[in-house]
Amino acid sequence: MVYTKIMHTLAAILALICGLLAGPALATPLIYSGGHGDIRANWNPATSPNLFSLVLRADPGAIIDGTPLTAAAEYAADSFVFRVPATANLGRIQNTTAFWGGNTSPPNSGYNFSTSTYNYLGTAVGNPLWVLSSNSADAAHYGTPWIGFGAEPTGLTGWVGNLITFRLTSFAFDGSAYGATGGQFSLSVPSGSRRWNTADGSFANDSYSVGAGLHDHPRLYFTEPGSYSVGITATGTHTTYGVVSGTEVFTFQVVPEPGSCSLAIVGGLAVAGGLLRRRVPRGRALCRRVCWFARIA
Amino acid sequence: MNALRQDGSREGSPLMSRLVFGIVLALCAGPGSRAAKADAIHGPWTLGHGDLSVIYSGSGSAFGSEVHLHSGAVVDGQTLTADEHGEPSEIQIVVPVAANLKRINNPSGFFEGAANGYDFTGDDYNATGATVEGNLWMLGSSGDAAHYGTPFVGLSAEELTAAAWDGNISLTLGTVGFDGSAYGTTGGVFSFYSEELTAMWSSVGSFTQQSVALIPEAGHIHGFMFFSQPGTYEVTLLANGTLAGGGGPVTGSAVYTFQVVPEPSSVALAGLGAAGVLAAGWRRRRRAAGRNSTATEIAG
Repeated sequence: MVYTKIMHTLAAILALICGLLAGPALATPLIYSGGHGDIRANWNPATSPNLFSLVLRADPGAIIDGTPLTAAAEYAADSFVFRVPATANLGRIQNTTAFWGGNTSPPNSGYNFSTSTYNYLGTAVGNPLWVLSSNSADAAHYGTPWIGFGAEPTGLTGWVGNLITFRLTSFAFDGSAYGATGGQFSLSVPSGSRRWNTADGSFANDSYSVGAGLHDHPRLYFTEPGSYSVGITATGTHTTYGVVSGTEVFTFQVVPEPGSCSLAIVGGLAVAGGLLRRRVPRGRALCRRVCWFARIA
Repeated sequence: MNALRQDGSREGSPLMSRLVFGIVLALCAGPGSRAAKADAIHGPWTLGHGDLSVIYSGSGSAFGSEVHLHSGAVVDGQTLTADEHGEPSEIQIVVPVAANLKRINNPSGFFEGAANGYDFTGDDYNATGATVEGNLWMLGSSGDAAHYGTPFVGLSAEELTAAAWDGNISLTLGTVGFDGSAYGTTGGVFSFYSEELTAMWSSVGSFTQQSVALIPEAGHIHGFMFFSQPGTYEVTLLANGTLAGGGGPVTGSAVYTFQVVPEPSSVALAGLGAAGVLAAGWRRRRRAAGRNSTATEIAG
């Protein structure tokens, strides 16, 4: 009896750990781990003239749940997570010989995130820093998704300023709301100029625009491993339809360094294995969650 | 640009306006324009997204090339309703006057999709070939393209199949012709900066060229193209790749034409000059006609 209570307590703790690691998306969402995809503002003026529908538009070759797509496909924001692997942890450092910018001659032109330009990231020089590059060659080199922001369905004309603006409108790290501590998230244009950051504690100046009917590739930064829930609102003002807007929350799973990751998995598997031996049904449920975390990692 | 296609449809237009229009267009278009194929997309590309693309037939050791124009792009005044693929020799990429941001520090100028300013005065921009405070035309990010009303130009290897290639496709700059003259120390300079604003290519003679890596199938990039003078630039890009499975090297080159439009004052001056010459010719012809008429009357 006492043993059963202990096992229940362990199972609850494991579930909590898994929940924290996996975030709120417990319905085993798809994992987008490589290739090109855009966070796209879809628009259908005939049916919803004032609504943008934000989706992931993944191109052929994008890797969804480990399998490259053979044709373009769209995914609802809550049906998948972006996987940011441990290899994307470039560090907030200067590395003059690293592969960067797709520049291969002379080999590996390097990067420098240690300058004051990058203080908006909210992490000190020398700390870990996961980066999703705006460059497709970098994405391929580091094995990351290559993420763009697209407004192709809006068409080129009829928009005030000819721009569609994507704003950061909500943020949570590992289920906790916006705070001065915990993982911080930023978005810059490829040259490094800030467009969004969470470390300043405000959404007031978090604005990134792409040309109406076009797309672009920004750079994304994460300061800690964990689950980032990023609320994005796309807005444009159409000369005929007025303000058109839409909001969705996208999830980024930032994978820790292999050491801490494998420790978590080994610990989790050990407990789950013990449960499986004694309580098969509960063990299977836990195993599914542990296995999903293992896929992310 | 229809006037340059030699389609013969000139009846009924006033002589003066036809000739002035033709001369101004010729000044803007330069020698890069060619007679177009009737069945392929052709003409000036003025707005929207397109990529200068490396293509491959599936055999042989040579790459092909094309301009992949995306739906919504404006070519020859027409908005495309679906993606189209054009021959590089048939598409003229128009860089309008509005793209002349000048090589200045403009703290409130629109750049990289926002009115956060730009500063092109530093030494990093010497590869543009422009003098500080001088003219400098730019094709930039999607936001810049939308704001300044320019084409949004990318470089692409998306048409290739990933599994067929060993590693990346590299693109380098070949020759740059300006207004019909080969690569030289004078004349307009073409340069390409990566999205990170690193100088990759420049027709400045002393510049050390870099290569741009493109991922087959997934890869296209957008950077910043700069032009130091108005005129016609014929930019040769060289592609290199290696077929997977020991299939050997594949290379190719393609020439892309950029028409950089001069400031209105230059166009107006050119137009006025042309009009003056034509008016003088018209007056001469009238006088000659008058003399002939008088001579005929006298003879009669």
